[in-house]
Amino acid sequence: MDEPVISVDNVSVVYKNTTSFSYRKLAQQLIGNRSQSQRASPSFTALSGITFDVAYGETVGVVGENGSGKSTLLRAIAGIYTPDEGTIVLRCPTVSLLALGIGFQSRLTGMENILLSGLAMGFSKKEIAEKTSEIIEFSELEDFIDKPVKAYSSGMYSKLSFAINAILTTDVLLIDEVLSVGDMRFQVKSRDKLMELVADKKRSVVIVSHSQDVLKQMCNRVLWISKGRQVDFGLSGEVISAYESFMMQD
Amino acid sequence: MRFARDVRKYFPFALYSAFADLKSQVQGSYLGWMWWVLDPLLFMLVYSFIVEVVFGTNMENFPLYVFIGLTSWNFFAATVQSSVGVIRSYRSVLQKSPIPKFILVVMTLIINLIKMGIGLMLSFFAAMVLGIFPNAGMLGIFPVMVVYIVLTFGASLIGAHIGVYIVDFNNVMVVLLRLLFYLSGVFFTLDRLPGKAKELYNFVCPTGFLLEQFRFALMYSQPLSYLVLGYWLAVGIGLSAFGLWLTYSHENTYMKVI
Repeated sequence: MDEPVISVDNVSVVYKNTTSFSYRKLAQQLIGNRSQSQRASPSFTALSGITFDVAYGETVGVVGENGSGKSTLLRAIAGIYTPDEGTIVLRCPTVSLLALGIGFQSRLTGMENILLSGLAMGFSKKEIAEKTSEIIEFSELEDFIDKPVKAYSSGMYSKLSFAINAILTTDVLLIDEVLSVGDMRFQVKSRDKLMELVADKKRSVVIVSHSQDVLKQMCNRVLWISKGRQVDFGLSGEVISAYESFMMQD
Repeated sequence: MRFARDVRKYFPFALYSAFADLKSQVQGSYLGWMWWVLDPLLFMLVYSFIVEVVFGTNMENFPLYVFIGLTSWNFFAATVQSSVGVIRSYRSVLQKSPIPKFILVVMTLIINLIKMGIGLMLSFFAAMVLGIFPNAGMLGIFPVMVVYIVLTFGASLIGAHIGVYIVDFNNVMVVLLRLLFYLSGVFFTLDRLPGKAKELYNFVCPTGFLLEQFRFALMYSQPLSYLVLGYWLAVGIGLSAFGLWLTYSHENTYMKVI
C-alpha cells in the first residue's frame, strides 16, 4: 500500500506566553494594573493530539466551529507554524496554502506582481514564466496587467490574486474556505476552477469549509476538530452527519 | 543543508523584492533614486561646513572623506535599523508562505547594498576629479566590502530576532546607532588617538575601522590592515551563524508573536 502524502501524527500547536515585550506593558504590571496584565494567559493550546493522513490524490475536509484550530492546522501543514509536539511528514515536493495577494506591492504592475507573488510562494522564475500567459488570460485583466495594482478595483485585484493561486499550483493544495471572487460570472469561473483543482487525481487537497455540501461533494474523508482537539476522522458522510447533529444540539 | 536549500529557493524572491522596493521608493518621490546620492551629499555639506568653517579644521579632500564615510555608514545603519522591524512588517506574507525569515534580512541588505554601491561609484569619480586616479590599491575596497557585508548581515539577523519580541527595540536601536555613528569617525579623523588606543579601537569598533579601510582604499592607496579585517570577518561569520541559528530556531514562535 502506498504511503500517505501527508501524515499528521499526534500534532499539538501551543501559543506559549508569546505576547511581545513592551515597556508600556511592563509599566502596567509594575504599577499594579492587574486587569491588563492578568489577561495574558501563559499559554493557549490551539491544536492538541491531531492525527490523520491524506493519500495521494485524496481530498480531505476539515470541519469545526469558529476558533477550533482549522486554519492553524493548515498553516502547520504548510510549514508556517511548526508543531510543538508530534510530527507532520510531507511526502511530496511542493505544498502551498491557497491565499490571495501573497507579497503584492501596490506600486508594481500586475505583471510584476505575478513574478513577485510566485517567487514568494517558492516557485522558480522559469516555472512562473511558463504559466504567466495562462494567469493573465484567466484573470481577464488584458491591458490592465501592465498597470500598477494600485489602479485596480478590488474585484480586479481579487481576480489577479486568485488567478496566480489557481494556476501556480502544487502537489498538495491547502484551501481555507472555498473562495469565490470578482463579479458573478468570475465567481462561477473561480469556483469551477477550484473544483477542477480538487478533482485532479494527481493532487492531494486539504480543504477547510463551513459548507457541509461542499465537503460532501469534494471529500473522501473528513476531520472534525473542536476547541483544538480531534473529535473524529473518517468517511465524509458519517463525520459530517455527526458534526451536524452536534451543532444542532449546541 | 537547510540554509543552502532555502537560499537556492528564496534568494530570487529576496532579489526581486529588493528591486521592487527600490522601484517603489523611486516612484514615491519626485527626485527618485537621486535621493540615494543626495542624502549623503547634503549631509556631507552640513558636516563639512561645521568642521571646516565653524571649527576651522583644515583637512585635504575633507568633503570626499565625509561622503565615503556617510555612504558606508548609511549601509550599515539602514540595514540594521530596517531589519529590526522587517519580520513584523512582512507579517501578511509570512502568514501565507513559509519564507525563511533570514531571507527578509537578505532583501534589506540588497536594498542598502545597491544604494551604497551607487554612492561608492560616485566617490570613485569624485576622487578622479580631485586628482586621485584609479590604482591597484583601490581594489582593496572588495575585501573590505565582503567583511562589511558579513558583519552587517550578522548584526541585522540578531536585530531582526530581538525586534520581534521587543516592540520598542526599534527606538533603542536608533539611540545605539547614533552612539556608534559618533564613535565611528564618519565626519572626523581618528588620527588623534594615540597608537595603542587606536590599535584597541580597531578591534572594538567595527564600523569605525571599516570606514577607515574604505578611505584607505579609495583615497589614500594605503595598505589595508588584513589582520584586523580577518578578525572582523571571523566576528561577522560568528554573528551570522548565531543569527541564523536564532532565526531558524524561533521561526515557529515568530509567527505566534506577530
